[in-house]
Amino acid sequence: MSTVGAARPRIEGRLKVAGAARYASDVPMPELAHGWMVTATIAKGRIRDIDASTALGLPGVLGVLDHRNAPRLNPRAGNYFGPDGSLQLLQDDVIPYAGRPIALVVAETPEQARAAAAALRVTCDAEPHDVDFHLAHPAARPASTAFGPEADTGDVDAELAAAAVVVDERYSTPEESHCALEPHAATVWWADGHVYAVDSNQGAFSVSEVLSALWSIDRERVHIRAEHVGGGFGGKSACGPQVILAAMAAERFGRPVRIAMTRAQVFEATASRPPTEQLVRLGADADGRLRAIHHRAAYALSPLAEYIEWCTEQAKILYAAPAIRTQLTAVPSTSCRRPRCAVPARRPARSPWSRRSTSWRSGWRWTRWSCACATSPRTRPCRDCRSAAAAWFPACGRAHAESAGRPGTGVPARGARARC
Amino acid sequence: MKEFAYRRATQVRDALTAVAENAGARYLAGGTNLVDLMKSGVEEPTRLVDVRQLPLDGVRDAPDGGLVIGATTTNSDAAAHPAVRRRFPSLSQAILAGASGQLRNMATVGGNLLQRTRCSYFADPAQPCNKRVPGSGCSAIAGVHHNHAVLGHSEHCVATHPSDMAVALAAFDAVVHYETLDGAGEIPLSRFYLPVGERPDRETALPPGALITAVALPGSAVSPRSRYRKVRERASYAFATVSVAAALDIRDGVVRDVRIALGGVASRPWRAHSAEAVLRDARPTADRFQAAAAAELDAAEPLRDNGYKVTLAQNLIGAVLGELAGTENDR
Repeated sequence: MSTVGAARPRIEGRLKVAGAARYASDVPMPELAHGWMVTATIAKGRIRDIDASTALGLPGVLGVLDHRNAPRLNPRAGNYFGPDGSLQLLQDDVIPYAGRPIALVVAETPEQARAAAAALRVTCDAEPHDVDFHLAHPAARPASTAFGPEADTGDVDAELAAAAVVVDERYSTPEESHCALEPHAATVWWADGHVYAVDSNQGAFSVSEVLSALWSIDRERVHIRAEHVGGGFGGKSACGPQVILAAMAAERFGRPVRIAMTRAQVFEATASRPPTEQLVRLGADADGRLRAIHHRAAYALSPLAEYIEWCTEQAKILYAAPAIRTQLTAVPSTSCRRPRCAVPARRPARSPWSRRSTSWRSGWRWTRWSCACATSPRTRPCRDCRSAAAAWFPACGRAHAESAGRPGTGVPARGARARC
Repeated sequence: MKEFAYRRATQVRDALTAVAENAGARYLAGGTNLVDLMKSGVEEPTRLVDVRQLPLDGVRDAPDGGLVIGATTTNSDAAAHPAVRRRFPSLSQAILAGASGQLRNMATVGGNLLQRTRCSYFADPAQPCNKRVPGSGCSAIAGVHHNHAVLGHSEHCVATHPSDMAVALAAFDAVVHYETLDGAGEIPLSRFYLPVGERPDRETALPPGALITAVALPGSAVSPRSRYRKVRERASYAFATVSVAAALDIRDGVVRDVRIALGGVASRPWRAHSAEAVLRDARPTADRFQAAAAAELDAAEPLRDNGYKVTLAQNLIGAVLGELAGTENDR
């Protein structure tokens, strides 16, 4: 066991300190074209027109993709919680949030693409939007119970009344952007019906799953590399718009396409952590023993996809109080209350914490939907056959009765192909 | 890509000519603000005339006992200069309260005066902004404006001036010296920044093409007893929520001279003349300091979300004057 406690050189350490590590936007690529995202500047509405006539005449411009000419994607593609409208880029004229990519300009150089993007004339019909968030918002509704039912044990009110000490507090956390050092970027190309991407992400497997669903192609035809990821913190765990749009453009123009987002675009167009408001009531005996926990929490929810910000989970499972009640509330920010507000409505994110916890809490769910070792490579044996997950995909190939694709996600069934 | 020409000037006249002959030309000093604005598309100069090599740097004594700070003196050098630290300590403190060490090493005194507001709507070409595009509207009035102005703003713009240094300069009646092809000129800092009014895009009284050459600080008996205090949302590398530059000269139990200027509250460094008038020849008590602060902020017109700045500014004025008078314990 001499390796324990011994200094080990980090494999990519020299590359990184020498500035030689190649990130997703650094990989050399012949015939490379560059895409520049154009994002919505209003929080809600519809695109009336995108006039690309000037942009198309600028030097180096190969073309402009928007909702009228972009490749069609599988509308059922989704994430863990089901269909995810945030993946459906350039599919319709709806603007669901400020910062939504609404067009992609493709040119020979990033500078030409950016200049042409600035020359795009977009006219929109703005609609009233509401980005207010609080627990008592009229749009509030119970959160999904995908992580299991709420806790409702004992008589919280009676225990609180009998408690020697009561804490009754309101807490709030703001929306948080992850701000990784490396902005989201991807280089994507197609060859012989296979799509290849060098992408900055925290989940190459899930990104490949989403791309295969969006394009309705076999997952073995999707190859995602994420070699050096310049930070993510959960903000790169979902399939980012850079991969989807670059894959569209690479398909359309028959060339490798790279999209490197600006810092501002990362703030607007990628996932962020939703704000929360939490009401906590604790009752305890004089010696500090908890008698009651009442945890009500709300989080802002994108109108485009289901999601759970699981801030009440610890209250459900961590303490031995005789009375525990949790109530988790989602507040979709779609209704129209404030006529004018400059704060963009954003798509909530998966935080790294909730993601890790998700796979632990709901292991049974993953295994029911597909092969466990395929969804969580190298870390868990398949729950059904108990074989160790040796190879990363597909580790377990036995045909399970349940491996018929993930309901609601558009992931193609693999039952026939999956065998040990 | 937006292409632009770059020219390095070695003589003031060369710089003036290079800017005069190109309508889209801009002077480039430290570039700590201009280059950022070029990246975001707010500024689109066709020619940059680099003035850093001009013989305009350094701090020297003025005949009246004051100081003359050359326009290309870096913020770091100005803040560290012994005469600045001894005779205008609040100026040194103000400069050191701004930006970061790296930025202060690049930024210059002349450029600092001409830096643009950090209003996020001004910085985003996708949003309406009367300062960036006259007549397009002000997004901040109904938008996110908790860091915006409470004094001297108009219905056309509520942005604040971001400089710390200029607040201290305003307290000491600094005078801006400039050159044009028609000759030299000077403007007191009190008239250097134009009132917001209907044209927030017009920010200074400098003639077109003028190049700031120096900032002069008149000699002052009160300036050595001065202090700068800045309140911000984090302890470093943030713009002022409210800041105060103040100086106090007390003799025989009476305020002989007092200077107060506020930052973070208006489109320019805000000289608190009303507060000074309440204090001059008065006894320096905590109550009097509070009354002076209240008199100044009486004119405040806070926006929906920045009323806290009025209270904060009053308390900050009272606290800084109290420190200068050594009456903190009396309060």
